[in-house]
Amino acid sequence: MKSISVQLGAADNQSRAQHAGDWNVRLDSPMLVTGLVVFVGYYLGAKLGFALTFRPVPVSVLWPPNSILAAALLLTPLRMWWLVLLAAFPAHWAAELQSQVPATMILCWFISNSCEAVIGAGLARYLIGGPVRLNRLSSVGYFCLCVVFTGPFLSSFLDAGFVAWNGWGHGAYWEIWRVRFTSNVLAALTVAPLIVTWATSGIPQLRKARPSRYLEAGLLLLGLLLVSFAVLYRLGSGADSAFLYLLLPFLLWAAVQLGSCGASSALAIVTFSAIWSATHGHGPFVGGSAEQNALAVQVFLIVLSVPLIFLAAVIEERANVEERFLKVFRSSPDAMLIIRRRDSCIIDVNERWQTIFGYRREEAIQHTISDFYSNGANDDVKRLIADTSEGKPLHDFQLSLRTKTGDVRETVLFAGTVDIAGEPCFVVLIRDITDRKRREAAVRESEERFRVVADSAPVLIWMSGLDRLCTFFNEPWLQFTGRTMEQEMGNGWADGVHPDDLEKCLKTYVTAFDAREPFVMQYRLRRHDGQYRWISDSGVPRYDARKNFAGYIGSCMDVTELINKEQALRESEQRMSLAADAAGLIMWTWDIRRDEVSLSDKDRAFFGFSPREKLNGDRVRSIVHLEDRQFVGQLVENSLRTREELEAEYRVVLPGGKVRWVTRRGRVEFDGNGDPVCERGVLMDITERKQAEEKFRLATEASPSGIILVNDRGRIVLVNSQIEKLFGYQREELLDKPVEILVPERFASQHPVHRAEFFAGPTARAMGAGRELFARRKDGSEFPVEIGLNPIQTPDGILVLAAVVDIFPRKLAEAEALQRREELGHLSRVAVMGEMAASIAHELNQPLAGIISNASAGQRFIDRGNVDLGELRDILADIVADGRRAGDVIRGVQSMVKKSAPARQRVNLNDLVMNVVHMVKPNAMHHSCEVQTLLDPNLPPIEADPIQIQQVLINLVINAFEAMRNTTLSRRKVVIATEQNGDGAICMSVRDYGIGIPHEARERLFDHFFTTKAEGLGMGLGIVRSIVESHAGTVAAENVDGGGARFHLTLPVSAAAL
Amino acid sequence: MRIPRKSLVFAIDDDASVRKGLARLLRSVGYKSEIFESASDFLARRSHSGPSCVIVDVQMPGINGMDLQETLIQHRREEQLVFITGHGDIPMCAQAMKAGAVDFLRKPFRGDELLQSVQNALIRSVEQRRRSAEQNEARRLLDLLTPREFEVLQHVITGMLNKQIAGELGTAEKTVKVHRGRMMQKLGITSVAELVRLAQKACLAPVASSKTKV
Repeated sequence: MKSISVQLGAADNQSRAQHAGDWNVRLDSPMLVTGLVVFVGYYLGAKLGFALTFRPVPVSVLWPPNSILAAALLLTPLRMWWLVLLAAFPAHWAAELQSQVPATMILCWFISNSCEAVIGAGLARYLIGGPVRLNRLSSVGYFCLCVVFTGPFLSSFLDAGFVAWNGWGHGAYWEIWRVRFTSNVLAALTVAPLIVTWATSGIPQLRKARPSRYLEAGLLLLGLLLVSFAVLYRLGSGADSAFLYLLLPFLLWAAVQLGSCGASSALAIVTFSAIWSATHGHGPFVGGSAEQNALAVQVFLIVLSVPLIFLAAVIEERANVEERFLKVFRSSPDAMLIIRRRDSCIIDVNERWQTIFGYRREEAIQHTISDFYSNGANDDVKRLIADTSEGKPLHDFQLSLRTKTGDVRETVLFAGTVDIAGEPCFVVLIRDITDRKRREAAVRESEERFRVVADSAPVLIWMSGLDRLCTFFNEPWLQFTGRTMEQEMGNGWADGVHPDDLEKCLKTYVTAFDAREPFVMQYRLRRHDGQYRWISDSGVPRYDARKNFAGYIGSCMDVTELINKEQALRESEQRMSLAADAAGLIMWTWDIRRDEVSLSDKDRAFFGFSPREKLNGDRVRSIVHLEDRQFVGQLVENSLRTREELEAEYRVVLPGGKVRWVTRRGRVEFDGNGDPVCERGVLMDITERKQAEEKFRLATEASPSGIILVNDRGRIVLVNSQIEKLFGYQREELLDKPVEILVPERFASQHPVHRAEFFAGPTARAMGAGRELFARRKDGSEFPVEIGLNPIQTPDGILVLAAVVDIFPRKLAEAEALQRREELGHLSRVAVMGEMAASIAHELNQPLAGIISNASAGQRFIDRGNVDLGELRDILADIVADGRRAGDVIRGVQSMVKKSAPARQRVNLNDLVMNVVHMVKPNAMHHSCEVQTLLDPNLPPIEADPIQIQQVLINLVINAFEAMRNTTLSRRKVVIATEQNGDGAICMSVRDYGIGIPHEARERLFDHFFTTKAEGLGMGLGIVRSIVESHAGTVAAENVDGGGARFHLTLPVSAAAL
Repeated sequence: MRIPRKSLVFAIDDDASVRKGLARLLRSVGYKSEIFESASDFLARRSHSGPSCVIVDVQMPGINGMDLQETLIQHRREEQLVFITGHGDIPMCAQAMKAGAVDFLRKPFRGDELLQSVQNALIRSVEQRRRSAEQNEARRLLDLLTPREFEVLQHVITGMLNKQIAGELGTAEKTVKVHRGRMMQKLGITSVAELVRLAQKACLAPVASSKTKV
């Protein structure tokens, strides 16, 4: 029995521990044990049932298996019911088989048995709503209703039905039903409580029971067995049934003294004894038939059992209540007294009362409370005594009570009436709140102290609670905002925050609050005068004495001035840094006393210093180029000594070995004692400038011209090597000398005036426009020069860069070129004349032919003798004219061939054209060409050398003739046109209808010695160009639509320089 | 110097003083002359019926001397040409002479040199005119002949016998004889020599016999 309960209890615990819906189908060892116990119990129960069957007709008086099953279901959790039922099935099968019951009947009985157990147990569990313990009246009631009555009632229909259906039993349906019902009810009343009570409370009670209890139980058992033997066995059937009541005292004894466990056990003994005796033909229930006997036994036992288990439950329930009260009374943390109302006598005190007030229980009992509290008794105590004697309940009655040692304890009293042993009594509960009061006072004091401190602090202080709402603002805060505490409470303070800052402010606060982290924020808060002031607010979480978070506390300061200053400072720093950045300046400060150099991160990066590195003078000096390091060090020392500004240009070596030029400017600041404090300055990367200077120097040196740089005082600042060569001076002889030493003495006096003029309006220009310039060498000799002047803006003012070119070689070359050109022109003319020999001959022969004809005619007239003098005069006049004409031709040829300097005169181009047309007429006829002219009659005269212009024209016209060798006769035509082109120039064109200009010849058309003709010299067009260009004109050639080429000449009307 | 009757000298030159000089020179000898500034002016004039000479400058704008010569030949004009030139060259001269020019003179020519050329030209012109008159007469006579008679004539003047001619023409000797007699009668001549002379005057080319034995 013990093992069962242990296992069942364990299973019960387990079920409670586990989740209700956790249907864990896993066979572990407790489950197996449960199954085994159920199996064994059921089997034994069945055996017992068979054993207690009345003979000869088997009438089952008590059928325990159903109740065992029901008890098992009551005790096991729902999820194990399947196991219980599964374990019962083989037991049932095994038991029934022995009594030769057919298989279907066995099965049917199992179903009805299971139904009874399931219905009874399920319903009972549902109604009781917890573990089934038969120690309370309600539990027992539900148990009787469900397990004892409803289960058997319903299942007996099924049972009887099965019997009838299988044709097993013999007897009427209702007969069978009744037998089944009564036997099942009896079993449910006796077996099930026995198992349940023992399983739930019997075993623990057995363990902790005192020996006296064991003794009592033993006596009871003995008495009960004796009486049972006497009444139920020895007593005959005819005896007075009043003897049966002898059992009652023992049963009541068991119920009163041993609770439900004892009652059920006693009942089981009586039941067993009665049935067993009846079965064996003894005792009072053997008088009638088996059925009658059985019914009699059953009725007797049922009637006996029901009140008994109710009684046991009631008694146990009461005992439990009292025990609980006593437990509370004894172990209460508050002092408790029980006072008899009648005489205010103290009946009992608990342990706590003794410890608080210092009296022992023995001292208190049988005394009145006024014995303890009357000394120094006040009205409260009197009232308490009065009230308690009147039986009024007390609540929260505060009272100061003295202890045995005289201490005063602050207490609060509760009192209620209770009947103890029929005497109306007071249960008084005294709670000692002295410590709490003291703590409260301490807190109050500390809060007061805090408030005083907070209010007198020069900062604004606030506090918030767990709900983030503010609960406190100190006086300075309220004064600052000009609002009342009520206005600021909760979130009221947020009204004063600047709307622009509010969101950020709340966010910071809430974020920090939720993370329980300190925060510092700045926002603008409206002051009482309406002005928004910048507030720096730092909040920290605060914790109470038990380290529980209790909210935040924060303090604020008006930092408006600070912020303004900071902002101004930051702005000025930013401006400075911007300016420095823009100028590429690196600003640095050297704290000399601490030997610390401060540089911006950007500038650190430039020099390859890491952002965290500590920079001192040596570290900074380490990047100075080795060659410059000593010199820089010296300069720094000098500036420290002389207190003068330091200015130096030197090289630094950057990481990666790159060398940069920097210029450094610094000033040392001194303290009142004249000791250096720090040096501030700027560095500038001037590498580009240095490179540019170097480039400039190299470019200057490499220049083929002499270059002189002169400052505004006329002093030479720089010369290149070309100047040395040109002027014969050494560089050092020239530097810082007036530039006039290079000017010939006859111009030197005027030169400063010109120079001043140039500086007044410096623009790049050539010097001495239109004049020939001469320069003076060191030896006094002069040479022609050309000088270009360029003003250069430098930090030192305007410098003039003069580029000096010795033009003597050029002049010489020019003169030679001119001469050559003239010679070439002459040659060309001679060549043209050669080419025109036929034409010239023709031109000469015409007048000669005229002369000779006329002269011959004259002679003949004279010979004939009939000379008409008038006729003769005419003849002679014609001869003279022809002679002149011939002379003109000769002169023309001479002029063309003569080697003479070109002579400019005003000429009309049309006249020249006509001359040429005349001159080339024979050629034209020879080539069967027509020469056409389209002349502008309003052509202005131009300044030109007529011979040269004619030479140009002749060349072009003869070229045109040549070009038309293969042209059909009718198309052979040369058109010479002149016109003004409207911009002070005259255009002349010569157009032919020949082969045109070959594409490949176009580029070199006007080159000397270029020709497409087999017999040509290649000088014609070259001469044309040089002549036209010497007249400041242009010549161009093009192919014309419709065939042939056109040559354009453009000559300026005004005189052009030669 | 004998100046042929009805003779006329033309001078064409674009140079005024040359024209003037020429005109005077021709007049001084008594030639009748007409002076033209250009060849086209000359061509515009009706051709002269009498003996004529044309003095023409080779180099002229428009139609030059050489062109004029060609034009005249094309039109079967019989004016004799004397070329003058300010700057002549040999090919030009040769071409002109081949084409029948009387002379090719370079300016400045001598007066009598030119006049001589003009004289020669006029004589040649007279001769030319006479020859062409004879030819016209001979042609007129020959035109009287029938084509068969003309054929016989063509063979006779080659010296063929009648028999040969008959063979040549594919006819009887007798027929040839008849044609021959009629022909002689029509032409009013009696001997073969006279016939040959007439044929020459008419510039008639003898027919080459296909069967002539050499």
